[in-house]
Amino acid sequence: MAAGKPVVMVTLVSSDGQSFQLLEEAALLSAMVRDTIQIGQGRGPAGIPIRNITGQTLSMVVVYCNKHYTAAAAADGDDAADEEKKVANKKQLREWDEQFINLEQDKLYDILVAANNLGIDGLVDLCCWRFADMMKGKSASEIRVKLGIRDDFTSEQRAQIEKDSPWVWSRTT
Amino acid sequence: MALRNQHSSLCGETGTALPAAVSVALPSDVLFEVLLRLTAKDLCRLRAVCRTWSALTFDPTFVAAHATRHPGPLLVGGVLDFQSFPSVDILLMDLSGNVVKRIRHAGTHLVLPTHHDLLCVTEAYSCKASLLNPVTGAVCALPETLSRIHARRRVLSDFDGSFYYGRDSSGVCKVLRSLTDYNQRLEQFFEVLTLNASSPMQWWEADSLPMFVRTEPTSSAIVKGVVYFLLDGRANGPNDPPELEIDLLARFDLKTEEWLPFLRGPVSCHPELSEIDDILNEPYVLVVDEHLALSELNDVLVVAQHTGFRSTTRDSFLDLWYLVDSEKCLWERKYRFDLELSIHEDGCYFAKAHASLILDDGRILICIYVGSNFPGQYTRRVVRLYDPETQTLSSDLVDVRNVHSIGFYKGSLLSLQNGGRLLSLCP
Repeated sequence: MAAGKPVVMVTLVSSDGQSFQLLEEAALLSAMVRDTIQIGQGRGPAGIPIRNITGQTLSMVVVYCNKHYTAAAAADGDDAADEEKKVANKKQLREWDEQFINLEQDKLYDILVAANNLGIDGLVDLCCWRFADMMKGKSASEIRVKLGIRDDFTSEQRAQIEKDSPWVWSRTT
Repeated sequence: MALRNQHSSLCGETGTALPAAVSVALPSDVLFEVLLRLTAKDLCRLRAVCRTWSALTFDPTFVAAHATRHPGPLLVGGVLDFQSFPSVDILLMDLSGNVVKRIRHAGTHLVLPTHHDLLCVTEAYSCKASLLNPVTGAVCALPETLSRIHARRRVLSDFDGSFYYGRDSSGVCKVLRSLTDYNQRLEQFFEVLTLNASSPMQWWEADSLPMFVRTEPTSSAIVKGVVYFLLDGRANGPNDPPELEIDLLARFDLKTEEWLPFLRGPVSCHPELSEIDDILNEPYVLVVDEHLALSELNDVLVVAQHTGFRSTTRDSFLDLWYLVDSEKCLWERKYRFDLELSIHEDGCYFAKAHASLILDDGRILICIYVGSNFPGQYTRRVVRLYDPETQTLSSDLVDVRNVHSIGFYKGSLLSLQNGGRLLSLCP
């Protein structure tokens, strides 16, 4: 990062009126923010209104953006030849990610939907992994209870599923 | 990963989310991404959650995306079940040896080392064979009859059958079989069967060869619609055994259903590269086993030449010969590597090894068969990965003592179309 670069901040405003200030470059991780700034909006004191995302969720998203922006900036500044350090930093960031996303389902859901709306690919990916991880090894009925989904198969459809994949129901796999 | 077209909450649309529950109705594009990260094994189970999830995971777009994200073939192993003999469990395993799926199959069948949309399973010392769809578990038994001409003078029970399932050069699925009579008259016949909807399945006779082809699974390979065979050295019928090179290859074109001229193998084409004295830098007093195996890697015929020593001090090695031009009969030895026999044990020796499959990243799956000197003990099947870039061999991916045959499956376990259409043609 060039030292003489002016520091530009943007403000994100949550659906319940909370404001979060962060470096514009950190906020640019979001495709939605990028689009807004590209059309010349959002730099004013009113900030960028983020609909449908509460302050509680947005604060987490801001933490994620700051962390990943700082890590990327540090990696840029590093000596390119120092491979070992790069690998170590990457590993550190991954561990931070894992801890960051170690949330219960409701919060994870909020962040996933927020990250998706804001277009933060890295965070969407992280949330999807965590969600998938929570589903691993679970039975269909466990998932239904967990996610509040109703079993809406007709009896014919259920018979068809059992016919198509008999092993799905067997205990041996 | 751009997930912009959101808000069509999938579970919400179909009204399946219970309002009282935590109501985690993931937007459809997000649900797509989440499910993409699960293994085929998990997904097949979670299809039963609700209609939406079921529809999504059967969707061809999803199946294709899932295959891209989870590449890598599955190992297919046959495990005999002695408790309910004769019956075999066919295990589909990922490359770490985790069982993804288990299919119960009647009979003492062997899985052939093919990797098509359907698995060909066959029974040793008989003429029974079936095609099996690994997705549905559906089975289609091949007819246990002789072709009309052969039936005039022989009966099927005279023979041991070996089967070769593949597509001809225009994509038609066919099965070639060799019928070998080792006991009475030393005869070997060939018959072909076409899988199509318009006619019932029937074996048709093909020409015989003047000599026997080898019938064990690693002695043949199907490349671009041509079945290649190693020869056995015996004459077919009452003639004198012909003089021939050990690596001469017979070729059967599945489309014309005729034999092509013999092909000279790599060892006889390059005698200068196979001198055992050049390999051993000091005079060894060893028994040297040479073994050839055929396989198809990315549409190229590969001969794996295994040189083994009956010694615990000298490592055996594998040469991979690629047929770079079949018209001009040009062979190139691309790789030679030690098999790193740290797993040498008392009473075991390395019987044979062959290259089975090439992965998308260029690594090559190597199957090693560890024979045992103890009667009654199973041959171990060890699978390792050779990385040509780093020239290293991985440690064992799978080491299963009770798997008695191993094959591969490259298709998706999620798609019912895969091979299903073919099986529905069968009576």
